[in-house]
Amino acid sequence: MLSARQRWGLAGVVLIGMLTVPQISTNLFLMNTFIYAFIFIGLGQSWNVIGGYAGQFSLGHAIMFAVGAYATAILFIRHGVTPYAGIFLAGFVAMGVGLVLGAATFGLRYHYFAMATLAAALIGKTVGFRWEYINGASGIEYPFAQLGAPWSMMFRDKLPYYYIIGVVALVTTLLIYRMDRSKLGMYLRAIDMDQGLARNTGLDVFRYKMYAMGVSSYIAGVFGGLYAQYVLYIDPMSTLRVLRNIDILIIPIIGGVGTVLGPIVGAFIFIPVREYTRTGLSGGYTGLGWVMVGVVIVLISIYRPGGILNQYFGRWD
Amino acid sequence: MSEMLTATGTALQLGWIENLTLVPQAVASGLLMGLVYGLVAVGLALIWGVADIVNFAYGEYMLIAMYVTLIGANNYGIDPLFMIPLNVILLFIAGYVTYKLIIKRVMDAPMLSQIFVTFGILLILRFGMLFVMGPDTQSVDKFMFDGAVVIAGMNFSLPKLVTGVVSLVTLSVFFLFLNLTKTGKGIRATAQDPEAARVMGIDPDYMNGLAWGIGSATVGVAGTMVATFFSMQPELTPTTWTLFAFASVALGGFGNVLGAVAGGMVISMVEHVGGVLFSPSYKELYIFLVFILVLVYKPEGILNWGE
Repeated sequence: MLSARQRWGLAGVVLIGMLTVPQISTNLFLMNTFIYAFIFIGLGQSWNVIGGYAGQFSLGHAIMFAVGAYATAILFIRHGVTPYAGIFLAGFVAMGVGLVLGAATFGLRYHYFAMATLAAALIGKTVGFRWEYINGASGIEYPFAQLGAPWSMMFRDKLPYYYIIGVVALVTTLLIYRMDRSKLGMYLRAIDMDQGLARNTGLDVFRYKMYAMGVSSYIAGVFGGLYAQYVLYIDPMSTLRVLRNIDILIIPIIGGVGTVLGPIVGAFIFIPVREYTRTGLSGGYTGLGWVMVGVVIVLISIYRPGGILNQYFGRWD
Repeated sequence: MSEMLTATGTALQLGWIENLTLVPQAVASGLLMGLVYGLVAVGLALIWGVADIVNFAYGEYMLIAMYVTLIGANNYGIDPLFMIPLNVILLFIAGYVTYKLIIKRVMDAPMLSQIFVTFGILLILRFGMLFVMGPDTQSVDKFMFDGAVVIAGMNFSLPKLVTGVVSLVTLSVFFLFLNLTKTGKGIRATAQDPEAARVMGIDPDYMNGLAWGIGSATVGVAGTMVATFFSMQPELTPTTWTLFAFASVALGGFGNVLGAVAGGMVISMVEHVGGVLFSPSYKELYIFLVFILVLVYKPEGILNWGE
């Protein structure tokens, strides 16, 4: 493992890398790709905590993402809370939702947990489309008059987003690294490997799953808020649709489930490919990119279940 | 009992429950569609029970049958009823091949991969169909049994009625096969205990493949008939039906094929009666709520039947 100095060194290198990219090119498309990559690094880290480390295959993470997005937007637009604070508050709202979900579903075994979270995701979607408080299907739009104001976290350029979201993603990764090396990380892995055994050795399985869910949901909420601030328009379609749940988990699993760098690897593979095929394949939304993703998923599941980094020591049943 | 009546009365006055007079019609429609949901669910239950795999891409297989029916009906003028044999064969092959090519190779993989791989299949099928059929919602133009009919004072859409009948027939054939034929019993044996089945000379791998094939074939029949009254869109339709199937199977106890049918009936009743008593735009929500409640409180299913 890396020593503290090496750790900081690596972080420093990454930071320098992040700083140099815009010097080379601020091409809009490139910036956009990086920004989405950063967002999905965050979401990937979030899912990884509960799905990769604790081994709970959650199909409902879009809910916490959406809650964070909407909370940030509503706090800012309707209550004037600056997103610089709002994002972190929204994280707590998302955490609350996640904890409720966890409390309800953590008694369930693997496949059933996945299905329960999927059911929750669908309930979230159905409610989201009809709930007037969040404007239902019409969504919430940011007031463009506030573009560029210092407290609004709304920018005309992509560069500020690049830095802000990039830094948050970096900090999140460092946090996950800390967790990975900590007792929590160890306990979660134990739970993943054999929950019954872990419980029998005296581990309070439920409590640690809840810790994991809390951390996971908080991060998802924060990145939901960052997403809202970037796209400046959120609606149930973009935040709550079923595919969004799958987006979130593809990143860490393809990259390296249960590892710190997995989401980074996954995001930097998945997002550029998605962005390039979206615009490249004979115009319009043909979805062929997704077919390719599906093929990759099948291949990875069969030949390299741990993802590209392949360091998964989880449940073989 | 009297409290229930008072509660219902109050709810009626408050406007929470309306349309009490529409309930008998809803019950009748609910029973009819329950057969259809049961047919859809039975394949999922079979795969789950025999191969111990949850097929999250289940709705996509149904969609394949629906699109094939669409092409047959709109482009070639073949009535959906006659498309059934074709779809049965097609979907059986699809299911069997899915098992042999993909699923078989993750049978010993981490559970993470077993779930993940079906999502890969989902993406391939769904977006493959999006590419081929386009993003628009489409439906079958003509069915030889279009229109509606009135039986015992209640309205029934003819396509739905025929679909219900076909579902009933198919379910009967299915259960006769499972219970009376040697292969069917082999499948049931594998579902109960694969190791013991192997000792008795039954090849679990062969049974898994069969389960996938037959399970997909049943949903093929369902898809063919549902296409006569349900429009199809590559992204919306499969999700809906996968969830109906999951909810039905959850109610009946996962892996329990008879329970899946019963579960389908209940789901349909919840949808129809709930839609009439409460707001119809939340129909799906009731089903999802029931689903999650069953999962959380009684994962072994409410209706523990047979098996």
